[in-house]
Order: sequence, then C-alpha cells, then structure tokens
Amino acid sequence: MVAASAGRFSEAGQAQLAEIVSHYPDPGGAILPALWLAQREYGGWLPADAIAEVAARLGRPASEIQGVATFYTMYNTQQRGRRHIEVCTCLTCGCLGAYEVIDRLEQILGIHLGQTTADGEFTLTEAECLNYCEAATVVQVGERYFGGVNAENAADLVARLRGSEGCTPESLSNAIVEAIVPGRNAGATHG
Amino acid sequence: MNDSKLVNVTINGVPLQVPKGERIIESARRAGIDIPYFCYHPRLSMENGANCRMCLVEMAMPRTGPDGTVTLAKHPKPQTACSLPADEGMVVETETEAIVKARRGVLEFLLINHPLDCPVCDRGGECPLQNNTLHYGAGASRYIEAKRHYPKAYPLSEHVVLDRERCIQCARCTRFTQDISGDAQLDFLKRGADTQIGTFNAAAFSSLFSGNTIEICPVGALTSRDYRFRARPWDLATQKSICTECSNGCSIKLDHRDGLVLRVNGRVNEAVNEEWTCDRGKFGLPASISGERLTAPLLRDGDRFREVTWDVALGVVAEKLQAAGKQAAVLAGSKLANEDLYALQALCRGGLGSVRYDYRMGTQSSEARDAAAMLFGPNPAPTGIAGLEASPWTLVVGSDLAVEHPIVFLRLRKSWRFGKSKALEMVSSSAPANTHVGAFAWSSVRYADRGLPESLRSACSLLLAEMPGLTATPEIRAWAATGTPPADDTASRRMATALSTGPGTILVGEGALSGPDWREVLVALGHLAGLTGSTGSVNRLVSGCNDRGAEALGFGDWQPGTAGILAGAASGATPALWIAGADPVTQYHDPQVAIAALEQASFVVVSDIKLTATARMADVVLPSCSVAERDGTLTNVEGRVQRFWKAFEPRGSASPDWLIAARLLQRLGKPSVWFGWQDVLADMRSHVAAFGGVSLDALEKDGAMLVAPQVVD
Amino acid sequence: MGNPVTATRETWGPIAQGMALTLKHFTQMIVARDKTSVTVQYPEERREQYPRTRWRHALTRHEDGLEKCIGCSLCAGACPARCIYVEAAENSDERRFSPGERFAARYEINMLRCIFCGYCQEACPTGAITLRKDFELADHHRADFLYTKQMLLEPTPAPGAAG
Repeated sequence: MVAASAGRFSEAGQAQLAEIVSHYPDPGGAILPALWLAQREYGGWLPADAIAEVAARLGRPASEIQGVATFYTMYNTQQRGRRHIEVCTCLTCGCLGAYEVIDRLEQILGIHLGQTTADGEFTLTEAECLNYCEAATVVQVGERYFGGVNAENAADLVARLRGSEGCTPESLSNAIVEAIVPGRNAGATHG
Repeated sequence: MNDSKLVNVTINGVPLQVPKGERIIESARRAGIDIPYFCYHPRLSMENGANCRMCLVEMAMPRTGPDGTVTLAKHPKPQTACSLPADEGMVVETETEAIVKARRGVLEFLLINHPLDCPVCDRGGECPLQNNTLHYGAGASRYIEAKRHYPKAYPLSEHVVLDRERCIQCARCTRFTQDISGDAQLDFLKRGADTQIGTFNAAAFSSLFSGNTIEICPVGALTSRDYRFRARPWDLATQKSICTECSNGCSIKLDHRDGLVLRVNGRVNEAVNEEWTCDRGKFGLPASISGERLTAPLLRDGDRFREVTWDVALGVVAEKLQAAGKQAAVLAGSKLANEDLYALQALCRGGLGSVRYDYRMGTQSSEARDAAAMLFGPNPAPTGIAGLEASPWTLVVGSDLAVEHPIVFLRLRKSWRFGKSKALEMVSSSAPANTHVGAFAWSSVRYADRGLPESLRSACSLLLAEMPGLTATPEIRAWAATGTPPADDTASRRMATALSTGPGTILVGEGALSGPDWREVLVALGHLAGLTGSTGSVNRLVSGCNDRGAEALGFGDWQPGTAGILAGAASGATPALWIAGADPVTQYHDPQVAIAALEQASFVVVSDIKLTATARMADVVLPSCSVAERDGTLTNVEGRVQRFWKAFEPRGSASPDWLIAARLLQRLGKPSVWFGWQDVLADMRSHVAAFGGVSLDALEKDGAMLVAPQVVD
Repeated sequence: MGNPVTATRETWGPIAQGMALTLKHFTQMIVARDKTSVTVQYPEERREQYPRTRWRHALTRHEDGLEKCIGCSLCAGACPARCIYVEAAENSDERRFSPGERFAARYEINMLRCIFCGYCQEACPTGAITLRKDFELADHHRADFLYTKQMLLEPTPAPGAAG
C-alpha cells in the first residue's frame, strides 16, 4: 500500500478530491471522479501508482480501484499518445464510413488500430457510440468531438489536431473534473 | 438483517414459517427443497452477490387491490433466491417449467467460456459446476464459437493457482478477501468476457487465509499449488481431525492417500473456526507431517544411530530413567495430545517420583501465570472464541493476533463487521505500520519498546478523565496520574471513549506476560480491567497447540521450569531427560543454552515424528505418531477439548507418546491400565478436575470445555 | 437279468457310435484337415480373436508420440475391481509427456484383480487406455502381475515414421 502522502496529487488536486468526497456519504462513492482526478494529476493515464494513491486517499482496497479503472474503457490504464483519436464504429458511424476513416487514419499516422505513433503524438482506437449520431462519422479526441469526418477530411483533422490546444487525455480528465467540481478552476493545468 | 418476527411463506406448495428477511434459498434449504447455486455462501455478504443467477425462482406476493380484494401478483421475472428476503404471504415456486428452462440457460451461459477440462481439473469430481450441470443443465451446448483463452495455471501466490478460463465470476473469493479475511486482495479486473480475478498490479496474493478461497471456489479456477494433480477426490479418504499448527484448534478434514495427508480442508465448527482455516494450518500441517519420518527406534552408536527393536530401546530408556529416579525430567512438545501429556506426567510423578516436567520453550514464567490467575480468575480464557462476538469492545495487547491466533482474529473481525464490537489494539512501535487488527481497529495505540505498562497506565488515566464518576481507589487514581502522557494522544483518547462504554474483553498475547516487565504489565492490566469492569473477561492466549492442555495437566508448575531442566541436564543434576515431541534446539528461546545442555547431558531420549536437530543429539530416538496416525484429544486456546481421529496407520513401528510412557511404566514396575487412548482419557477425567467434563459424547460434537478450577479461599 | 443280446446291444452299441464319431473327427482333423473343426493347434496356431475382445491393457500414444493418458484417474474411479492406481504430475515445457498440463507419473494395473470389464476404456476421456487382444497373461510370480506404466505404454513410434 502506498501512503497517500507519497502520492503525486497537487495541493489543488487534493482540495478538489476533498470536495468530491464530501458529496458522498462514503468515500467509496467517489471512486469514479477520484480516478478522473488521478488521470489528470498523473498526466492523462492511470499508472499503478495513481491507482494506489486513489486507494490510499479513499481508504479503499487497491484491488477494488483497479477493478473499477479497468472496467471502464474511458480510463487509460495504459499510456496513450498526446492525442487519443477515438473513432466511433457503432451502427450509424459504422454505416457512414467509420471504417474508411480508420483505414485513412492508419495510413496517415502509419500505425494500426490500438497503436501509438513512434513520437508519442497519436493513439488510434475504436470507440463505442459517442451519442452524436447525427454527425456521423464522429471522432473524439480528448474532450472534443469532431463530426462529419470522412476519408477525405481525415488528413485535415490530423493537421488541425497537431496545432490545437487541449484535446489531450489530461485535458479531457480536467474537463470532467471541472464539471464535477464546478467553480474550482485552481487545479486546471491546461486552459 | 433478519429480525425475529416470523412470516408465512409458501415454497413449492409447502407452507413455512421463517424469520422475516431470511433469504429464500436458506428457507428452502431448511425445508429440504433443493435450489442450485454457485455464488451464494451463507457466510459471505450479499452486497456483491447474486452473480451466478443459478438460484432463480418464481415469486408472487399478495397485493391488495383498491376494492380491498387480495390477489396474488406474480413477479414477471424470475428472482434470485439467494437475495430474495422472505416476506409475509410470499409464494415461491422452484420447479416450474420456466425455472427449469432458465437454469438450463444460465448453465449454458456459464459454460460458454468454461474450458470443460474436467479430467485434468483438481476440482473434477467434487465440483458444483459439474454437479449442477449434470442435474440441471442441458446435455449439449449450442455454442460453437471460440472460447476465451488465457495461459493456464497463473500463480496468484505460492499457494494459490488461478485458471482464468474456468472462472465463472461468482465473486466468492473476492468477497472472502473483502468480508472475512479483510485484506481485500482480490477483485474483478476488466469487464465482459475479459473479466478476470486478479490482485492489484498483479502482486502476489499475500493473505494469511488465502487457502479458503480454494475451498469456496465453486469451480476449479482457484486450486492449491501443493495439492495440484496429487489426487482425484475418489482417490482420497477423509478423516476428521484437529489442526495442530497453532493453539486455536481448528476443526479440519484430512484428505489422505497411501498414508500421506494431501490436503487439509476446514470442517464446520461454529464454536471455533466456523468453517475457515488459515494458510499456516492448511498448507503447513501436511508439510509438517510429511517428508522423512522416523519409523523405528534408534540407538546411538558412537557418531551414528543404529536401528534397534522397541524392546532394546525401551530397556535402555527404562534403565536410565529408573537410575535417575526423581531427578529425571521430561520436556513435552506443544503438539502432544492431552493423553500423551497425562501419561508423561503420570510417568514422572507416579513412575519416577519426579516433578520436573515442562512444556515451555519461551520465557513465560509460572509466576506470571499464577499471578494472572490470582488477578483475573482461574480460567485463562473466560470469553472464548465465539464469545468475542458479543463483546462491545475487545482490546488486544501483546499479540500479532492474525499471525499468532488467526481464528481468534477472524472472529474479532466478524464481530466488528457486524457492528457488534470495537476492536482496540496496543501494539509495539516496532510492529509493521499496517497491522492486521489495525486495519479495522477503532483505535490502535503504539507504544515504544517495553512501553506496554505505560501505555496501559495512560489508558487508565484517560479513562478516569473521561469518566470522572468512575469508582476507583485513591491508590489507583494516584497510580494512573503518575504516568507519562501517551505519545499517540489521539488514538489513546479514542481508545478511552471505547473503554468507557462498559465491560469488554481483553486479549493478552503470550508476549505481553513473558517479558521481564510482566509484573508492571500485569498490574496495569489489572487496573484497566478493574476500571472497565472487565476483570472476568481477561483472556491470556497461549500460542502452542496444546499449551492449555499442558497447563491444565500441571506442566510448568515446577518453578525452575524448562530452564531448570536444561541447566540440570548440563550440570548432571538431571541424569536422564526425555524430550517428547519438542525440539529445543530450534524452539527454545535461547537455542545456545539448549544446545550446550544437550551436548553435556548424560542421557537424552527424544521421541518425535522426524529426526529433528534435537533428536540428532539424543542417545535414544523413538518414533512417535503425528495427529493423522492416532486418536486423541487436544485442548485449544479457549480450553476446548477436541477429539481427532486416526486417519491411517503409523509409519513403521511408530507409536504415540502415551503408549511409550505406558510401556516404560510397565518396565518401571508400575504398570498402567491403558490399553487404548480412551483409557488414558478416562483416567485423566477421573484424576484431573479440569478434564472432569470431557465426555466421549461431547468429543463427537464440538468438543468439551475444560472445567476451571474452583477457587478456595 | 434280461436278454443277453439286448444287453450287449444296449451296452456296446452307444460306445461304438461314440467311437465312430471320434474317429470321424479324428480323420477329418488329421487326414482331411477340415476347416470346420473347432480345435486349433495352440500354441502353434492361434484363433482369430473377436473384434471386441478385451484382454491386456495398453496405453496408447498420439501420432506425435505424446502419451494420450493425462493421469485423470477416471479409469481408477470407474474400475469395479479397484485394480488401477494412478498418480499424476504436471508437464513442463522441458519434460513433456502428454499434451496439456497433466500426465500420469505412475500408472499401474494389478492384473490379478482385473476382471477385464472394460469400464476403464469406457471412462477414458482421451482414449488412452484400451483393452487389446493379447490374452496370454500367465506368469510365475504375483509381483509380476503388477503392470507398470512402462509395461502398458505403447512404444514410441520410430522417428520419421509416417503418421
């Protein structure tokens, strides 16, 4: 067990965690938001240390926290590239060319589905329904959705991502934490 | 939770009265109605239960309509009987067409990813999944796609092997580690078809109780490394026994084949271990009695031993003992049965006129023992193991409870889990940061080296401050006031709040009273017990398997004790020494003293099951029997005398120690009337008051308690 | 007593009939070598055993030479005479006897106890134990009737031998 004091949570992060925990009758209820917080504090993914720190801070068994973290696919238990491109391949997107988008992105990035580019910039994975079917094919990168992606404009998307702010696993985590703890901006590490 | 109110339910047309809130699966079982299940376990919580869906039943409840008519409203979906609380008027059907079909479907689903490698699986032959499939499943599966595959035999720990393909995600093992042992090492990782049991970060499954998960696994997903492929269930014979690895005296089953104990499983004994075992017993017991065993008496011949007949060996021993007379001494091991100990003391006192017999290998003093008896009453464990459940608070001092007394620990944890007890702990600051009791303790107070008396004193002082109205003599107040304030103030204050709630239980480990400061500890304990009104529930926990039996039979009464016996052996004052089942060379607290004494001793006979380091230094070595090869009784930490049964024949000509003693008595011209172990027990019952209540009938059940000696003023 | 002629006929007649039959078979056997005769000249000649004859056990191998027996002990469980003893052990990549995790470290049949019922063959999940047609199982010492795994196991196919 890693002592909480040995963790990497920033002061602001600790304050936010305290706020989150105060919303629940039992610290066990705060596991999901605490994991988002940890994903932000640990740079966009949840290494074992992050899980151990959440466990110590919530007073829950580390095995349980890891169970939760591996259950939900939106937590990154492996390190992702700086841009995690998730292409929806559910029914609508799948019918409207998601697989062509994936083929094109694989070609542009030079990687296969589930891989990360050698420079650590992009990771490409499939996603289940992102609930934005009217704009199929939908691609999620970090906290942002990109609708109407097709094989033709995929290259533009990649080019646009290279220059954009945010859209990282970290900023996604931060956005979610901000939504849970409204009005507290102190912990934001990205604008 | 259940309350005592009874409600009327009908299961398969059988009207029953059951406690309100009782789970239907339990009501049905009591009524003799079979509901199949995998994940349900009466001792595990339902919070993460109802996973396997095997116990589906149809249920209807009476509903009063707007016009006052009562109709039976059937629940549209089948319900899991393991999570269905009984309520007034409930009507349950377990064998309808829909349920039979649902069970078949559930089993087909469970078997989709199950490898069906029953012929090579250690669970095959005693597997609930096999049995239920045979009784309730379809003959064939319609699933033709590829099954899930993982590497076989993933080592979760040195004892537990995980086969992820076989797992049906019932969560029994995860709930065991969360609810019962409390280490919460196991949980489900990933999800869907990828769900698997695992530890955090794939660390070793390091629990003191991991073996129980093997037993409760309803499939062959968790198997034992030691038992792996050693036998199939139909190759084994099973005998009831008692674990000898610590003083808790768990009821166990020995599964044996060809004179080898292959595995140990828990046996239900609600008074002691419920159904659990610890890893030390489960894996340690078979190891401790297997391996190279003594099969014939050995006589020293220069630097070597030569095999001799019992006649020759006993002739030599009897001659030496006779010559030594009342200077002769006996050191008894902690795993000897009550019968052995009784026969040994009969040999000493009756046969030789000697009072030099002892069992202690540590620094426990008989003075401390007697003083404690004066302070807290003659019964060293008045609360008992099951009694912990009713105690509002339990203070543990001087013991790493989970390691020394694993089953007492489980009971303490159970009592805390059901909200009945606050666990309090005083632990040395040299102990690890996360103690086992500390994980759930209401308060865990740390004290510096030798600081236990001070820690107890400050607890008294805080308690007096907490409860100004407490009756206490000025002497006690003055004593309490002179103490140094505790280093760990918060924990101490928190402990005082628990102590102030009334009488509770104090568990005193052997370590607390065997140090040089035992007087101070005892005084402080006496005051604390007196102030909290717990004088009658101070439990002194002994560590060795049958130490309670040895004490009850007068071992350790002779004041110089083991130290005196060893000193006598070294100086020649003890010309003949019989070490029965003990190994002072490795067990005595100062091994150098023991080794020196054995080197200088004029005659040492050792009876043991293996050629121990002590036996190697002996003049005569006699082969004796382990717990699996003989009948007898053992006394556990709470003074419960429990019977164990012979599982298979002894090796070679090995013989239990009581029989060796009986043969020696015969040679000394004082024959006993013992022809079997029952004769020794009968003798013991009529001559030792403590064993007066031990009847064979009680021994067939949960065992019989020692009778505490009456205090005569 | 009765008529001596009748007595002679009643006594000697059947004997003559019987001897005639014997003589007929004898000549058929020795002289005519008639294939319909039931006696064979054992041990020089052996009768063809029926296809489902159950005699001596054999432990068979897979085509790649690995043992079929996985040491599951189901044969021992099925055996009504309790004459099979199996001790299993774990295969390792260095020492592999059978496919999968488990193999029979010891496999013994007490042929004095065996009643050749074939239940073991029926219980075997891998078709490892089979009862073959070798029926000449007599021996001189009791201990020799304890057939070990080495005795029961089929020889390894010669390296390079097809299939």
